[in-house]
Amino acid sequence: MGLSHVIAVLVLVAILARSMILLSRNRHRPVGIFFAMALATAVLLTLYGSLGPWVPALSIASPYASLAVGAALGALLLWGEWRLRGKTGTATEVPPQPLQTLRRVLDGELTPIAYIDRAQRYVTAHAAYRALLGDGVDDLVGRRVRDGLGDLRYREVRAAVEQALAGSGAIVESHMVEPCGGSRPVALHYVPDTDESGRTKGVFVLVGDAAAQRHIEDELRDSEQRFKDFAEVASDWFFETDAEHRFTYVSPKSPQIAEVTGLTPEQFLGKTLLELPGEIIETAALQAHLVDIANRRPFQDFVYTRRLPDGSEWTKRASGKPIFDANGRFAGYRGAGRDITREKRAEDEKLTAELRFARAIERMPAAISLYDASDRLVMCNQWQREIAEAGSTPMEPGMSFERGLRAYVARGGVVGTDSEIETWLARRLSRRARQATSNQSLRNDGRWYEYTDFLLPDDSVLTIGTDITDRKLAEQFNRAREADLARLQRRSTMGEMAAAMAHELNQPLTAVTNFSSGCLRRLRSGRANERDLAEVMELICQESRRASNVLRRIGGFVGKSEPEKAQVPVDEIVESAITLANAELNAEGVVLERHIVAGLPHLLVSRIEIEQVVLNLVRNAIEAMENVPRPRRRITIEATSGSPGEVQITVRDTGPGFAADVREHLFEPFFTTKPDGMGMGLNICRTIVEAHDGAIWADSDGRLGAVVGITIPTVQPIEEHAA
Amino acid sequence: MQPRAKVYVVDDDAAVRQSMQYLVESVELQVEAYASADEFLAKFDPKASSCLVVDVRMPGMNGLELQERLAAQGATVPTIVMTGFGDVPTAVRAMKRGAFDFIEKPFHDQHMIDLIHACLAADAQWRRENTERDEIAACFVTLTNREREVLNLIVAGFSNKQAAAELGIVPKTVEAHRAKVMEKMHARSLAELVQMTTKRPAEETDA
Repeated sequence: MGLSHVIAVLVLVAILARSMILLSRNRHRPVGIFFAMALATAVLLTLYGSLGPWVPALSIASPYASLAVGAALGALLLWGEWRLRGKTGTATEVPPQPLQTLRRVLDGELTPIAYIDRAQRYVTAHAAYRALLGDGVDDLVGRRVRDGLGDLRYREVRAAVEQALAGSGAIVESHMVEPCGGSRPVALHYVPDTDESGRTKGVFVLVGDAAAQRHIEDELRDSEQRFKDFAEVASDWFFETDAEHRFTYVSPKSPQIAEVTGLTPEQFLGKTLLELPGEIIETAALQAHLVDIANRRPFQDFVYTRRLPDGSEWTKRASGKPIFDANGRFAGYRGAGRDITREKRAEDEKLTAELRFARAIERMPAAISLYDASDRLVMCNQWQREIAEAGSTPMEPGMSFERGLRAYVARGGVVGTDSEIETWLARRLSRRARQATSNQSLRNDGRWYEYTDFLLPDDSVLTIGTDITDRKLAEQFNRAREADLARLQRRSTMGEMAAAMAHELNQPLTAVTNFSSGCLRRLRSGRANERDLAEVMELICQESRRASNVLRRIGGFVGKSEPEKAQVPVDEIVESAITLANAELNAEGVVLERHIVAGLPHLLVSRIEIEQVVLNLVRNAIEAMENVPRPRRRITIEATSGSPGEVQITVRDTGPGFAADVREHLFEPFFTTKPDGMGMGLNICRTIVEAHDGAIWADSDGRLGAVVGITIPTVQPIEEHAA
Repeated sequence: MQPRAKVYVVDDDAAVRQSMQYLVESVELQVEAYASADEFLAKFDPKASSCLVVDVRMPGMNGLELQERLAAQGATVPTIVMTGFGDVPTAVRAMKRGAFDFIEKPFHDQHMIDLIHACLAADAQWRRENTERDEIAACFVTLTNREREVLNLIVAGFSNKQAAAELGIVPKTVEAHRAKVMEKMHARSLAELVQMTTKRPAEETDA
């Protein structure tokens, strides 16, 4: 016997032992059979090779050949072992725990389908189990496990049942025949049913979905990987604590941990939150959190600030949930944390800003209120409450705008007649129809208020009420002042014109005096000639009329009472103004041209006022040409129908005109280009024209002449009634 | 006889012009009425005795400007300026420019007639004096140098003897010169001769 024989025997012994083990487990029976056949062959070959030296007829093979066969068989066996290694252990070596099984049953993962007694008979069986065994089995109760199963399946099942009866339980993979054909993999769990003394009374058979199981396992594996990935890249970190709240795990790779806390993840381990370096600032949230974890309640968004030994402060937010072990015992917390120092700071600042803004609004010296899209009060400030609150209707969020408004009016917020108040109410209530509208009202305490409504993009309305009493008083004062100024201007115009007027009046009076004196002298000296006298008397009458015309115009001009509007032909206005300016025109040697379009409609105006406007424009034109050589002094008055429904009267001169930047200010009060001008003339003109719904404008190229024009809306010419 | 005195009326207002003419003609004065200063200047005859009634406010050349123009031409026509009511500053300016008087419209006819007469009288007076002066000047130029020296001494109050001593000649010669001067100047007495000397144009005194 050589070394090869020793090796061969050892291999054979190993194969024999392994075969026996495999054969004892029905699950690996096919492999066991293979091993057994391999063993038989090996024995035969070994015997054949070994007999060679004694039986020469048989020694055709060398000892090396048998050695080779033995080695090949060994390799084959090793290969088989290697194949087996992956399969063994999962089912048989980890027997199902009764409690786990129960939990899985309760979770719906496993369904009990049969009970088998110690004699391996079915005590009860679910229809599903019958389906599992295939057709042809009607009722399993009372039958033996052996029945209805093929040999291979039976061996498998029997092994599992026996294992369960021995007290450890087993899982067998099988296939469930689907009602619609085909099958799907299922796992049959054989779980021992033990009594108090630990003796096995029978076996529960439960079925679970093997595919689902595998899927869950895959998922679990995936999710573990996922968790690892997330934990590595997340800015949050994850932790686990034990039942005493000591950290047992902190995501090891979280970059934030070290950066924020100054601690390595390892430094966390074994310490509670309060034991970590630094000091957690006492807050209500901290107290609540401690109560939470003492009661093993989950916590959400627990925010705490830790002051580190170096004085810096870090704010964190953590959420966690309690975890329990398989037996339902509290095992600690698992959760995530996050550094929110920056957010907290920003939030604090924002809060401060918002708070400040809210306070500012609250104390604004204006009544501010906000109504939502359905016109219900969202908020209002102190002032608004003060002015709007009637005793019975406090300004509460949700109150309708109309109700608040009516209460305000009822309390005397608007002074006026009933219809005026109704109009005001209607206008205020229709505020949504217009953008940024303002309504003014006088309250019964004598204060004026102006309410402006701003329609916001989200259909809410912001209402701002301001006390405009001072402004109103100033306006009234200004109006009175303006009226005074206008009267003053008129009077000063009168003063300036007095000489011209006197001249205008003196001419006819002089003529009348001269003519009548001449007549008297002729009569007294007896040289009177009747025809001559009559002619002169005619002239006297004519001149008297002329004088009275002048007087009438002056009277109209000076009249202080508010003149009534009347329908006046345009040409009469222009002619009157020219007559009034005639003296000055003559004195200054100004040539005046007029172009009045025939058939212009009448104007419904205060005749005197519009005459004064035209006169003012003519006078301005005359004054503008002061430094123009006399032969070139020319004024052109044109009256045309401008746009439909308007008449336009323009006065054009040949003066130096005005620069573009002057034009903007021409009509402003106290703006003047004259050395001793008051700057009120054009302003008053504008006031008058605008009071007639007209417009005044001026134009000049800044070199030669200026043109000032007014447009006045017309009325239809008076219809003449035909006979 | 000189031509009849003329009253010029210048006023842009036709009624005033016409009525003035009617009034002034009632006292049998010759009236020429013009609507503007330019028209008047075209027709004005400085040689004839006349007066001017002008309105201070007129288009084109006004009353005051007309006054200046006439002064510049050396024409001395007495002028009445008609002003409007209360136009005192204009009246003052007119007077400063040498107007004869001013009158406010409307005026009393008699006042106007009186003013016109006064004006014409003044004009006549001026013209008369002007003529006399021309005559004296004409006589004066006929005197010899020696005669002028004698004249100056006599009117200064020198006696014949004193004058002779002054001039270094004999009194007899002075007497002869004096008689010649009296004759040439058509003076009837020493007093008349003295009066003539004062009316003589000043510039010729030193000639």
